Amino acid sequence: MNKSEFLKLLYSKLAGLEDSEIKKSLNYYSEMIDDRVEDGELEEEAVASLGDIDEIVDDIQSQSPPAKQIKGKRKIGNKIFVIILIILGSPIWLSILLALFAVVIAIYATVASIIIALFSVVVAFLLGGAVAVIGSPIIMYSNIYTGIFIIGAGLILFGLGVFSAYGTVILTKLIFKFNCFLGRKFKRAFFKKKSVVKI
Amino acid sequence: MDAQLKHGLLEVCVLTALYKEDSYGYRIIKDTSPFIKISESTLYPILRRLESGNYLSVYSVEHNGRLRKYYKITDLGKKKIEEFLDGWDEVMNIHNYIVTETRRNENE
Repeated sequence: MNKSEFLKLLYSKLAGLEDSEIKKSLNYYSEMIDDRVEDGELEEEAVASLGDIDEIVDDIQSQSPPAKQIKGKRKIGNKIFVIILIILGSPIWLSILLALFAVVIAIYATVASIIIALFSVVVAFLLGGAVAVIGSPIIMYSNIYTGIFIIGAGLILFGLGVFSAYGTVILTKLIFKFNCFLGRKFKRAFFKKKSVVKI
Repeated sequence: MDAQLKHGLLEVCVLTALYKEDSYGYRIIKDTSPFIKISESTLYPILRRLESGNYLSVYSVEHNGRLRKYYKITDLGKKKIEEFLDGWDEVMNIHNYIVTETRRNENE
């Protein structure tokens, strides 16, 4: 028997217990099998070493009271109600969701364009400075003072470019870090809500 | 070992496995295996009972793309270990009593 077969069998044998109780048990045994496999056992071996499934079921049932009939019915009713609500509400929540999505994309696009603009400025500074410095001897032929002025201006431009490159890189890194942080927060919130039962 | 005696010891053993640092199910079984044999199916109700009695708390940690439940001993759990150790003198007295009584009977 492999892991998913085992968990399915366990699930069917636990019928009648509270949903949360079943979920907890399945999570527990799923984790145990995963840990044994991670420790070098084959999946089938790991399942076999858990012992007799009926004993496992007995141990679980001895600890947890069976679900109350009325509660179960109400739960199913609730579920249907929620599904109907979701379907009926779709024109509202779907458009809200899309709008939210669009806002998120707009924010990202804005941030991206700011970063691109900053980098363009840096490149312009550096290129302009470099061209001015390199090209100034040609101007010096016609007018020495203008040439010297152009060298100075080029150097200043280039210096500005280096400074702003430094700042831009730091800012970009910060933005990326913040983005990763947001992503992790989001993922964690998402993971918590989702109970992980791998069948 | 007698099943009933083992049952009481198991809870304290599991709490002891958590005493130094938080741990997860499979590691609890491995850490205690040199001393006492706990199977997965025995551990599960013990953990549930200890959790509902507030002797330990549970939290999840992401590990290799799945969630692993970690157990943390509470102050109440540490107290339970203390009580077990304090009560051991009593157990030793009983042990002595059993030893002396049965040996005396054998000698008679």
